[in-house]
Amino acid sequence: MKQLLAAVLLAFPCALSAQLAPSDPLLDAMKTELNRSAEKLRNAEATPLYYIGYEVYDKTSYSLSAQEGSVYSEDDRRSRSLDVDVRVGSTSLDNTHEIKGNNSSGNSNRQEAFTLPVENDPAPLRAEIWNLTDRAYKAAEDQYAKVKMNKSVTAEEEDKSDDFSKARADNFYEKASFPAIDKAKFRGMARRLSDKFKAYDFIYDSDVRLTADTVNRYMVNSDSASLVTGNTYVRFIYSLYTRTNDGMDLSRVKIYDSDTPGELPAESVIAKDIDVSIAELKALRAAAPEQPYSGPVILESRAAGVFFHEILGHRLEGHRQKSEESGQTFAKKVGQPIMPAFLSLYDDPTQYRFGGQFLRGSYRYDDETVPAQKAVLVENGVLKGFLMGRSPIKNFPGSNGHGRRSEGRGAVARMGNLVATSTKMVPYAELRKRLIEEVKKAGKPYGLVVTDIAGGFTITERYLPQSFSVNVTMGYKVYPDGRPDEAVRGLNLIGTPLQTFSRILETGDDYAVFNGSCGAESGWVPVSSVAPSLLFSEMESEKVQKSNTRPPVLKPPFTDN
Amino acid sequence: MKNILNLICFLFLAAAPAAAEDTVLKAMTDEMQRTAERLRMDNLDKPYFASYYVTDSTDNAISAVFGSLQNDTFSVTRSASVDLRVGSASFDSSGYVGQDFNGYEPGNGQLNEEDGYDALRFSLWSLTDDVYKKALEKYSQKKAYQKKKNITELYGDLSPENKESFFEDRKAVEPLDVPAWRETVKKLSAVFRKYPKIQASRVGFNRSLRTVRFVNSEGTSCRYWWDNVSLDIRANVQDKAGLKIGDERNFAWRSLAAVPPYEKLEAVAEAFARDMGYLVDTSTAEVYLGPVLFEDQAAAEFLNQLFVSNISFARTPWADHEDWIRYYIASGDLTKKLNMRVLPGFISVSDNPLLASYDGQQLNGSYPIDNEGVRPGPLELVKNGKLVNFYMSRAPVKEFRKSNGHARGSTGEFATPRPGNVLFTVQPEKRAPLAGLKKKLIQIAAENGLDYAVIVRRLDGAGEKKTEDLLAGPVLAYKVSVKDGSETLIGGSEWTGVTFRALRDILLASDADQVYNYYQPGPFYYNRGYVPASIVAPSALLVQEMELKPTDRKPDRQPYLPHPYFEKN
Repeated sequence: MKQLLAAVLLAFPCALSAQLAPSDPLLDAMKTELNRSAEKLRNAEATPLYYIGYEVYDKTSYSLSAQEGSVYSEDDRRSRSLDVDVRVGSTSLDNTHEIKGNNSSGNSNRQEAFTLPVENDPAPLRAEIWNLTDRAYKAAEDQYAKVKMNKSVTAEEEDKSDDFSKARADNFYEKASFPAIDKAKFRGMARRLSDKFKAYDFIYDSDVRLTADTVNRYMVNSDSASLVTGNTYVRFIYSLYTRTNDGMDLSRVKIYDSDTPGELPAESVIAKDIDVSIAELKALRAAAPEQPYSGPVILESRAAGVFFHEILGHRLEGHRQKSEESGQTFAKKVGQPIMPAFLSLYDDPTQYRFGGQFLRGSYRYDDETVPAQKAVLVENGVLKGFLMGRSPIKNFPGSNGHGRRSEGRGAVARMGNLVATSTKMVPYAELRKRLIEEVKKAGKPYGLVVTDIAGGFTITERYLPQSFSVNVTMGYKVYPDGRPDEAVRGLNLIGTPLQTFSRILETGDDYAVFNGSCGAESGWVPVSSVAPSLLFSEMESEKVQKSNTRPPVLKPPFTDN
Repeated sequence: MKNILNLICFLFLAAAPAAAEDTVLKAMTDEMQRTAERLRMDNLDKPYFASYYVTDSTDNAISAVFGSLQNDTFSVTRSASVDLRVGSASFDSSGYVGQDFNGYEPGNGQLNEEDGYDALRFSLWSLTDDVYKKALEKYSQKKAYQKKKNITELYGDLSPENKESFFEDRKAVEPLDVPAWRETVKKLSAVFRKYPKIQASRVGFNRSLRTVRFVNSEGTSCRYWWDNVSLDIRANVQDKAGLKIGDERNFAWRSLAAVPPYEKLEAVAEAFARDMGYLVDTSTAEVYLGPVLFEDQAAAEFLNQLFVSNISFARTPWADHEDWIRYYIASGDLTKKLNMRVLPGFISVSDNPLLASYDGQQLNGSYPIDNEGVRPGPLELVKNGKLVNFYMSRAPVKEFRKSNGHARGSTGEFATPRPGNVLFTVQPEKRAPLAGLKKKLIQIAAENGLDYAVIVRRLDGAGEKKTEDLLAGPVLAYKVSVKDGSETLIGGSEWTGVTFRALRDILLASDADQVYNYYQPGPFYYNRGYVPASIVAPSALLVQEMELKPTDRKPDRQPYLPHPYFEKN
């Protein structure tokens, strides 16, 4: 299977190979100001500045949305923002070090970011960079004093790793350009598609949306790295929403992702998907609120992708293994089995596509100037490693290119493209048969097939139980007697990670991609997950929290006759 | 794309359809009718009053720093406020905060920017439903609160007003030369390249075209428009003690035609940059108790913050945590002083939102009809120093049970009683040329045995003021030597012990009037909606006695490195 996967995962297309670095005024201004700051601030205070880095996000965006047949909003944006990362002290102890104990609320990845001019005149660019550098430097010196005192007055840490690892200083220049968008075409398409929801009196809100963003990241640092790297994200999204008489909010959302508008599905294809989603929402609304269930479950591939991301991926983010605040579920489990031997897991941001599908979690360099690379996390069920940024942990001193963030945050280890693979696969139809067998064996009235999960939470902080809860946004009861499937609503899947993974019996061969945006302490980053469907011998569920608000009193105006 | 969008919005604005073919108004009216006729949940109260207030806004925002473009956006938005009440005009669901101050606002949301009838009705329906359910709950909570607190003095919740119908068609939109404005804004921002003492600066230009539509369940319906052009120049310095000082010059005009030529704008930017530069080398503040001469913006803000703000916001909502109200909602404290002396006997004040200009200058505070569909008119506020009226919306208070057409606010907040064009008149014998005021200032200081007197030429805006203060701190304050009249800038000072007494302590006013166009911040500190307002008043005021002290703010360290542009190699 692995070979097969390797074949269908395409690396970055060759056409995008690195461009010759031309003279780029923004990059030049960044370098000039960086060199001045690095040189003059290095020993400006007793605590030396040992690292300084600039990252500029140069963004071009377009968004269009429509509701009930007309344009809701349309926007073009162009912006630049700057992050300044300053480290004072030394690699073994610097201002980013975690504060323990009573003052731990002072641990924040938030940092000040600045809006930069969108033009290239060096004087205004340097003036703004200078301003933020001064603030960041003062903030770093101040924080370092707190860190040092905190370290003196609190107990010794379990993991005495450094705060920052060395990294190669690359030189790379490859800009992405904003794609041509036929706005008139998309406007018409969005109007027509959004009009489709109008006929249904149970749809209380709906939205059709196109977004296109090109982000070119400029990075320079005092190790002489100089990087310009770009990504384009195009999304077409529709969503529809209803509320049941017992006050439960239900929705369906579908997102098409690509890096080019030309690759989005045809209007007729989306229209058909909308019809399916409307039927699903109607079925969900008609379903009786579910009672807590425990028994065999299939998580279909896209849901399985989200599941791996939420339940396991976040717990394998390197910096959590040394945080004294973290549950460290896996810190000491390297070399031990954590899931069945037929499963493996890696994260590979260098992969640009899976089959034909664009992967949002791809990038060339992370936000700490480290080249993206494949990180093997679990091999044949055995934990091999972690997602690593430049914050070292015991036995894992170096980054594997997963230090990520959005503007205004300090980078931490994050996922890119998380891929789960299996060697115990059956076709999906077979997997469904196996579910029914398990249902019979367990003497349960039905099994559960989950096709879509969302949100929920996974607790990684130590002071709370290490459990997860994810919302089943679309799922079905599958009966052993061959009755038609029935939609279920109002369930959360719950459990603890290690126990839940041990209950995976086998998988489908139906790998699919989930593209999303992931929010954590270092902000929002685009991510992807790839996984096959999973059959669990048993999973537990609980009732969801409801809004308890009643449906609208009057019907939507155009269905009220 | 921008051009296409420009075209689209110009079409919808320029089309200025007559009321009958106005899709937006039709959607509002039709959904309002359905709400009034049919909205009722089970056997609970049906709404007795509802209103929709919808603002279309087409905005060009251009900003630049140090000669380069920073932001250049074009946007079209349409936002709606929905008010809906259950109960009756004598006691209804309004004016009750409950537990959640931040949630004390009308139903509000964005509507489709395109004129889609179905989409607009859909959004209004959705907002209305939400607000109705909240109103039902608020109503029962408010009744319980009234009972618990045993509040017996009730003056009603919604005053009866005439049904109004007012339709203004948009005149042709003045074309905005975007590329030319880009250059203007960049050029203005480049002025700061001559001023090494300024650490950061920014110039922002905004042009908004607004159309306002309002309907209520009593059959009032109106539409009018107003345009707004604004320019803000901001700069930051750090004085030699390390105190960070930020200030700005703000301009607002009702049309592009009213914008002065570039040379004048540049002269203002230059003067501002120079003044900010002087702040760096100011002498430190000392405790001062003596006469103060307020000039220019400071004279206008003195009247705005002490007087105008305090005859606004007459009625304060009820809240479960009454003692928290002052941290969340401003209340007009002078409204408790009706028929009492609030200003010297030689000053009278009126307001007239229907005035378009004064002495050839546009008044930004003018409007034809207020946010509750009530028409304003000339309103006498202070007669020979005595407060005879204050601003009223349709929320009755003990003293007045009717609106005087001053309910104003932005779409995200409840409309509250606020100013339009405030006109101060001073008896001629109490007016003197500026030089005369300064002479008098020095004379009083000398009589009090002081070495110097104080002139304040600029105050922080009302939005910057600490909630517990009546008057924001001075930005440009000068020591005036009693000996020779020479002036020295004072750094880092603030007022202490300011009371309404300061208004009655006005001794003399300048013989020249100024028109001060500004934005008045709303009463809700968590969600401040600004409305354009104007003050016409003497351009300088001499006040008998004020007290200044050095600021409590702590200084910051100076920048480690010099500004790169001004660094000498």
